[in-house]
Parts: sequence; structure tokens; C-alpha cells
Amino acid sequence: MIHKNNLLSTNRIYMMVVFLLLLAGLSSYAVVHQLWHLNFLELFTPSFELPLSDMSIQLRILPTMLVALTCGGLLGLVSVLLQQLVKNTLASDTTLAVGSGANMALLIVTLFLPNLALGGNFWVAFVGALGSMALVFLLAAPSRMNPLVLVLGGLVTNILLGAITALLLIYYAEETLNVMVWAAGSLTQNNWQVSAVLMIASVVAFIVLMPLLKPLEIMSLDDRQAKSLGVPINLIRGLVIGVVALLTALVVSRVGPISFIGLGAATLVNVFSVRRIGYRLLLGYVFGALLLWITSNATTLLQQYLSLNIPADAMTAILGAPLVIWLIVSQSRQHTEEVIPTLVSERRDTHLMGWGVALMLLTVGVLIFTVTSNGWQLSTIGHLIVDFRLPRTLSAAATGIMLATAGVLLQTLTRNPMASPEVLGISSGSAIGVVLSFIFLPSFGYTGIVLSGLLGAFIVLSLILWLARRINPGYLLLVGVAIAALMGGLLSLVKISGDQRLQAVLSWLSGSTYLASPETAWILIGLAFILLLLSFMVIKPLEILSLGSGIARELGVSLRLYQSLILILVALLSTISTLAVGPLSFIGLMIPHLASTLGAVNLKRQLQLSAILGAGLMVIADWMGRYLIFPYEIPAGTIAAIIGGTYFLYLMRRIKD
Amino acid sequence: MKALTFFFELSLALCSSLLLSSCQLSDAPPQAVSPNHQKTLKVMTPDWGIAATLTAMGYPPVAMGDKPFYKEWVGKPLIPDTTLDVGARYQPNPEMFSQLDLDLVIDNAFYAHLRPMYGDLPIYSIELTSSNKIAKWEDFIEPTLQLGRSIDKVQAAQDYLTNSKKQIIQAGQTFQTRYPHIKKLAVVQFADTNNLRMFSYNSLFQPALQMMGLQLVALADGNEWGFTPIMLGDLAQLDDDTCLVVVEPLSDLLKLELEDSLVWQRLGYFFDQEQSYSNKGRCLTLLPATWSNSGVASMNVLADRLTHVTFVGNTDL
Repeated sequence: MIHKNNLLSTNRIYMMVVFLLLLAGLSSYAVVHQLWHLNFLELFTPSFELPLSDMSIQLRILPTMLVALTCGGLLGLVSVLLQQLVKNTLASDTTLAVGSGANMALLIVTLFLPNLALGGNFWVAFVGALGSMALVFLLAAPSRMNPLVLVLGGLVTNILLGAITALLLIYYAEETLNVMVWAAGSLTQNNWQVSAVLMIASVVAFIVLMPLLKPLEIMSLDDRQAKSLGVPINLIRGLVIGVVALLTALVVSRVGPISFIGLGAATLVNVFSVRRIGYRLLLGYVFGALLLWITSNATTLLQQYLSLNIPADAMTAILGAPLVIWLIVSQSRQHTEEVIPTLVSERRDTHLMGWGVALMLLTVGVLIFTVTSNGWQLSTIGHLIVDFRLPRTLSAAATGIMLATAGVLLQTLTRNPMASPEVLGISSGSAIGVVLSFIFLPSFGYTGIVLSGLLGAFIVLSLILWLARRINPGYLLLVGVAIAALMGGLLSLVKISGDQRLQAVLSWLSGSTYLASPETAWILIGLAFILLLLSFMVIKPLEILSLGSGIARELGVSLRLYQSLILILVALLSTISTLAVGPLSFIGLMIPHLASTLGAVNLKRQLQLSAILGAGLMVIADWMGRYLIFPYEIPAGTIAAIIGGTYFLYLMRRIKD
Repeated sequence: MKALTFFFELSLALCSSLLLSSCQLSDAPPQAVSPNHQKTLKVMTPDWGIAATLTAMGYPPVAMGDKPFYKEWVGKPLIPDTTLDVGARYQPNPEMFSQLDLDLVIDNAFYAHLRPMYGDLPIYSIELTSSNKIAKWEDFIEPTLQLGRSIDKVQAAQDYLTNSKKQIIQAGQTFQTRYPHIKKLAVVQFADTNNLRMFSYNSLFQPALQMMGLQLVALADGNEWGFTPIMLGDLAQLDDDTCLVVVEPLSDLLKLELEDSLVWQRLGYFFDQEQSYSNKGRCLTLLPATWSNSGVASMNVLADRLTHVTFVGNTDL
């Protein structure tokens, strides 16, 4: 029986590889056909024997494909290694923030030490990759590397580093010329150097990993057993981490950040449930290589067709994210009940009144203490407050309330401490809806935008809920990460398209309250309060639902009705706040935890305190965003992510299993 | 208790920022100095090209967008310190804008979305570009005069046009005594190591070079912004007697990466004079940032800069 299963899966693997090879072959043929006008075999003439213009095309075809193959392969390899190391099918260079750490280090060096000319330097990227990995592992250590905590740590680190990058790019906009060069993430080559380096690195990586295979195989069973068999566990771990950091840094420093390929490859390997480590690593490399090769070809073709310079990273997200979602959905039968770690918190007096008063004072404070053309001062000019500051402050507060409420509802409903409209991709779904309606249904105006935003949120939400009963909570997060990446890719395509109308969408979705007006602000705050009140009405059924479906059914609660009601509520909350300030803000994930660590353990208290705290954080973030670099602005979402992310990482030490 | 601490922290933050603010208050509100005794209209423009042209005419705007970045991308004419910065060009700060004392706003279609913000102020929309496939000097006369009319300084605009034309022709003569063999120029700007913008015949480089007695060479017709996107390898199609003008900014990192590029190496261009000399490099120069959308002001700057730049490589074409 087992033998037959193995055979079956081997066949399926071959079919998958053949399918991908076919796709890669076909797309490569299309690329060559599109670009190369000489005889096919002449494509392989040594570069210097070709006329210059032909050589430049040859370089755009051959070494570019080689770089795609080797980069994808290395990222696949890295992700399989990481998964083996932490015994977690969610680990990858993207989810554990290895790539973003390397990227961040390069950015900092380019910005602050330009004279060293270290932009794109390999060792800088290496230090960054090691640093972010160390951070993520440290965060997960107290929970003994609980898979969910680990991925949550990576996720939060990613969001935080992304926000800091955005902030640095805004703040040092004049010095970022250098940054733009290497962060382009373009696979297009104009020499053979990079492809040669990556090929050598691939060979060396496999040779180095050879002697590690046996101990890794033993370690994959049980640490204690491995130790008793005389495997130097810590040494092996250190070596693997070193290899992972080296390879990721190499890729990031040579071609820029490439997300999702590693995760996609490793997830494919898992789907085929390959056991032997050597085989897993090899397959990871093959899948990664083929996936990025295909993506690179698609990018080249699209680039030719649209005559735009498309970053590979946008395409890997757009093509890779649906793949990851599909893989997860197709795996949905393997549901295991898992113990979910939570933040340790105890019931305490929540001082609700005190917090409420503080929020009021804060709101008044940010309205009158601002920067004017004369610098920081107390400014009580009535029309400035009413026309400009109040609408934006109110909008910020309203989105804070809505996201925090949605976060509490989702975390309770899915019994997953990492659920939130942003993390599960609901906000991104709504943003994708908005962008698509702008592109395809421009004539419908605002109604079309709101409806398609709602539709997007609702589709994602239904998918999440459908999946929630079928897959591990961790995979659920992965779906959210994938949807968010899809949105990111889509937005960066919009950005380079140069279309004026779409640029407006972009600034709309940048997470800023810039477009708040006196009319919309009051509507927004009104909606926030109505939805918050509605949430109080579903507390009872929600509490029962959160006990698990079995208990709920016994108590005779009409499960589906209430669940649908709560779903609609969450969709409304996420869509309205996305329409107001954009999809990135982090409030929904963090504020519910903050409320519970402050003692709001029961649901009602948690909702109340979360609303206040969410509003407060957004008000502060919006105020800082508007005045820190006056008259320029930093989106409130970016600041909220930095404040929130840092605090959340601090909180994470308290997660125990 | 928590709330109290929070309030305390908040007030502490407020006080400390207040202290900071007192330092900044000392630099008193700047006031635009009028170069003329008769009343000068107070203009705000989000656009660099209009700001540059107004400044060149002698009537700088009282406020403009993205002032710090102007230095890097436009450079000349220098905007006086008295001109205030209203924040991002595409999204100016409305709170800052409302505190300005203005007479009018001058913009172009690119900034049409901002018009509700201007309230009752009169708005003039002026395009400092040519709509012809091959741009001519004459295409820029009317918009420049229009700009003069909008601030009640038609004479200044007229004088500016006359002087500019004279200066550009003069610059052409200076250029030709210095580089008698250079006749054809291709003007590009790097986006990254593979992608460039090549300025084409509908850009202002065409009439400016023409008046200087030079010829602009482009590989394709330009888009609405006057350039055509090309790949690095496309430069191979340029004739040997065409000099390459690379418009800055060009980052150091990009230069390093270019030196590694096989295509760049085979093209035979060098940025460094000595290297270029010893390798018999092709004719090339780096042109300090020159904005391609400022009409006559850009042409003026271009002409002036071309007389000062040094071409490396073979200039005896």
C-alpha cells in the first residue's frame, strides 16, 4: 500500500515537473521568437562574436534566463532548508523575513554610507539576512519555536521592515537615487557575471549540503533522539542558518528582493509529501528554478507587449500568490486540530473611563498643537481646525475603531490570535476590488468602487472562512500573506503604468488620510460607531461560536446565520476602512492583543478598549504623519505599522505555548 | 492609573515639542522680495517648469511644490529662499496652502486634480510643451507670453523671449568654436542600467539644439513627454559622428554597474576622461540635471550647460 502510494506520488511529481518544463519551454520559445531575429542556433554564439545589437538581445535572453533559473532554484533550496530546520511548512525566505532583512541592510548602507559605495554589496546583505533571522528566531524562542509564533514573528518583522523602508524612502527621497538602481529587482542581464556567480553558488551549495543531509534527516525526527545518536544539533543548525543567509544575501544583492518563489517551490515539495531530505532539496531547487524561469519569461513578454519596465518582483507576486493559494486550497483535507498559542494576559480593571478621557484629550491636543509655516506651535485658528485637521483626525480615529473592532471579531471567530483584516488579506482583497473597478468599470464611479471593494473583501472572507474549517490556522495566514502580496504586485504594476487616473488610486491606497474631507469624515465616524454598536449585539453568539462548532450546535445556536452576520460585519468594517485610508495599517492585528494585555479579557471589554486604543493609535500616527516632515507627509499607515510593529515584537516575548 | 501616566506622558511630549518649536519660530516668516516697484502678483505653482520660467523672467513664485527636489532634477534657474515649499507636487499640503497669501495659481493639466483646493483663486493653465511632432522655437512663444500675461508682465515675457533666443544662438556659437566637429547629439537619461529615455524631436531639446546650429538625433518619435524608452543596446544604432549626452542625475552605483555591463563596454563609451582617451572612447558628455519640461527656461539652461560641459572621447568627428 505504502509502496503504491509512493509510486503514485513519484508519478505525480514527474507530471508536475514535465508540466512546468513544458510551460517554461513554451514561454522561452515565445521570448526567443519575440526578441531574436537570427537563426536559433546563433543564439549560442559567444557574445563577443555577435554584432553589438544582437549581443545585447542575446544577453536579455540567455543570461537572464540563467539568472532566473539559478535565483529561483537557490530560493527554493533555501526555503526547503528553512522548513527542515524549524519543522514548519510555512517557513521560507519571504515568511521569515530573511530577504527583507538583507534588503533593509542594503538600503541603510546606501543611504547613510554612500561613500563606501557598498550598494548591492553581498556582505552587507548577508549581515542583514542574519540579523532579521536572528530577530525572528529570538522572538519564537520562548514558545519553543512554535510554528505559528515563528511565522507571526516573520510576518510582523516583514511589515515592520517594509514600513521602515517606506519611511526612509520618503524621508531621504533626495538620496534614494542609488537605491532605485538595485532595488528594481530586475532579472534582465547585460553580462554573464551574475549568472556565472549564481551557478557556481548553486553547485557549491549542493556540495556543502551533502555531508549535512544525514544529520538533518535524523534531526527531522526528534531532537533528543538525534542528540543521543551523536548528532551535533547546534552546529548543524548554525551551519544551515549560515548557508540560508549566504544564499539569500547573494540573491538579494545581485538581483534584488524576489518574493514568493521560495515559498511556492517549498509548498510544491510538501504537496507531493517527499520524505527524503536530499530529494526534497533537489526538488525544491528544480521547482524554484522552473517557477522563476516561467515568471521571468512572462515578465519579458509582458514588458515587450506593454513597453514598460516591469520589476520581476511584481510578477512573482502576481503569479506566485495564486499558486500558493491554490496549493493550500487543494491541500485542504489535512486538517489537524492544533494548540494555538496566546498572549499571556490576566483580567484586570481596564480603566475604560480613563482611556476614554485620554483619547479625548489626545484628540484635542493633536488638533491644536501642529506645525504651520512658522514651525511647531499651538495653533487654534478655527478654519484650519475645521477644514483640515478635524476631518483627517476623525477619519483616522474612525478607521482605528473599525480595524480594531474587525480584529477582535475575527480573532474570536477564527480562534486564531493572528487573524486580522490586514493579515488575512481581507483589506487587500477589498483594495484589489477597488483597483480592478478603476481599471475595468470606470464609468460606475464611486458606487462601483465601493461595491467592488465590498465584493473583494467578501470573496476573501468567504474563502478564509471556508478554509478555516479545513486547514491549519497557519495556512490561513499564508493565504492572507499571498493575497497581500498579490495586491502589492498589482499596485506596483499600476505604479509603473504611469496612468494618471490610476496614480490617484495609488495615493488613495497609500494608507494616508490625505483625501479626507469635512463631509466624508463625519459619515465615516458615524459608520464606525454604528458598526461598533452592531458588534456589541453579536457578542453573545460570538462567544458561543468561539467555543467551537460542536458546543455551539449543542446549545442550539443557529450557527450559520450568526456566522454570516459577523462575516458581513467584518467585510463592512474592512472595506470602509480600506476605502478611507488604504489596506496597510496593522491596527486590527495588534490592538486586540494590546487590549487584552491591559486586562480586557472578556469580549465586551476587549471590544470597548480596542476601539479606544485603535482610534488613539491612528490619531497619533496620522498627526505624526502630517507634521513630522511638514509640508510633506508620511502616510498614517506607515507610522502605525512602525509604532505597532515595534510594540508587537516587544509583546511577542510573552507568547508561551 | 494607566490613563494618568499616559496623560502625563502626553503633556510631557507636548511641552518638549513646544520647547523645540520656540527655536524654529525665530526664523521669521519669509517675505517675497519684489524685483519691481509696481505690484507683483503673488503666484503659487505646483509645477517646476512654470516655477523655473517665472523665476527666469524675474518674478519667482511665492510658493511651489517639491522645492528640495527641484535642485536635483532642474537645478537652474536657482529658486530664491523666499519661495515657500508647499510639499509634494502631486499632493501639496492643503493646510500649508490655505495659510498662503496668494493672488493666483498657475498650473497645467497634470495638476488638474488639485484645482478644488485653490478655492476662489484665479487659475491659469499653461502647457510649456510643443504639440507638434517636431518641436519649433515658435511653439514656445505663445505659452511663454501667456505666462507673462497671467502675472501682468507681458513685457517681461517678451524681453525674456528675445534675450533667451539671443543667448541660445550665442551659446551655439561658443559651442562651435570649442567643438567645431560636433554636429549631432543624442540626449538620453538613465532609468537603470538597461533602460533609458531618449529625448526625441517633439522635446524642447530639438528647437534648442537647432538654434545652436546642432542636430538632435533620436531613434524613434517621442511620447507625450517628449521621450522614447530605449534599451542600452539600442545605442549601438547611433552613428559614429553622433555624440551622446547623458542627462544627470546619474548615481555612482549606476556608473559602477554600467562599467560591468558587456553592452556598455562594447558601446565604447567612458565617463572618465583619461580612460576614454587611452581607449579611444566614443564622444560623450554628462550634462548636469536639465529638466525637459520647462519650455524656454530649460532651453536656456541646456544651451548654457552645453557650452560648459566637457566632451570626453573622440571629438574630432
